[in-house]
Amino acid sequence: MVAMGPKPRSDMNGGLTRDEVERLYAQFAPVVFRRARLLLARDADAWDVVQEVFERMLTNGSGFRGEARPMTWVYRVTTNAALNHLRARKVREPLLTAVSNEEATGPERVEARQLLSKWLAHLSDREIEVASLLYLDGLTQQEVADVLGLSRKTIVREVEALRAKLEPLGALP
Amino acid sequence: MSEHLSALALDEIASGLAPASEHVTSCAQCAAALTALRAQNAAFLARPEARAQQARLAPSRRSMLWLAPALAAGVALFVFWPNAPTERIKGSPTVVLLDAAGNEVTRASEGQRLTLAVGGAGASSVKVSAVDANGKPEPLFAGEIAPGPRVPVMELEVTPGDVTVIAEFDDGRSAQVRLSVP
Repeated sequence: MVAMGPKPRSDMNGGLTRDEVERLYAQFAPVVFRRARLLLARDADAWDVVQEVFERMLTNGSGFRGEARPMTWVYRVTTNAALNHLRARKVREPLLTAVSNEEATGPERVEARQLLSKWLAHLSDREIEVASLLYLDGLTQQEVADVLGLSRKTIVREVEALRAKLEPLGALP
Repeated sequence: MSEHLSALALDEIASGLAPASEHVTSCAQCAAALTALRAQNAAFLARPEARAQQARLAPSRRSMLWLAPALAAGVALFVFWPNAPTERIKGSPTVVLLDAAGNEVTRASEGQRLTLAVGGAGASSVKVSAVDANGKPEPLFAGEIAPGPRVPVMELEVTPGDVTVIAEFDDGRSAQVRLSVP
């Protein structure tokens, strides 16, 4: 285990002013909401995800503040939070489809729901993360690697395996 | 014409985190996507739910919300439990390793970056070391810690071999977490 060097305490703690919180909210909340809404298809759940992501950002923000590209942290944490909601929904509402079509409008959103529904049935959490970043968000493989904190080589390998798994299922966009 | 900008790149530009690239000025599709994104962002921030949420998250309001139940709890403890042991109120000290998403981990891959976080439960400083399978200790961190249940103190990169991370707090208590590196 190698130390990357301790960060100054002021960099680790909350202590943000009201203006700073407002700036962070203006920069990132629309992104969080849009991504969560795409994955969850319910406004109420998407608002919950915004709250969770900001609570994490404000109270445990070392990862966020240490990111060279803070938006990658936001993408990653939002995706995780949204997937947790989907899993909870599956348990809470077993008779309903986990991927709701409620309020789904537009062909792109409907297609996203259909894809996500198949992914949830057949893929691991990590594979769903990669697939959603790659196919729903249109990120490059390098960007997916940045978001997930992995090497490009690893992502290239995982995407190849993912394609091989999704193609026979008709679950590629 | 190069490839169109990804959602991530457009979000960064729309949020003011990155300057608009040359591509945006020369690609009508990306320029339109960026304009639409900015309009969506503005519309989102104008929603009453967003303004209410922003107000809830702002520091002054947060501290007030926190203060009310804390005061109530303090009064209740004073009235009904005047001799409560300090340990019971403060809880136990903790040491955890967090992945990039902020989740606690006990397994990690070589090269993965983790955040070391501690909860002093009343202690004000800590010494943290990693002990490998041969019992060889490696100092990781020593210093003061802020109050809180899970305060990040440093970043670590995982090297091969299981380790036990041990935190010794200045009040004599300790905590540990084992990290398995397959």
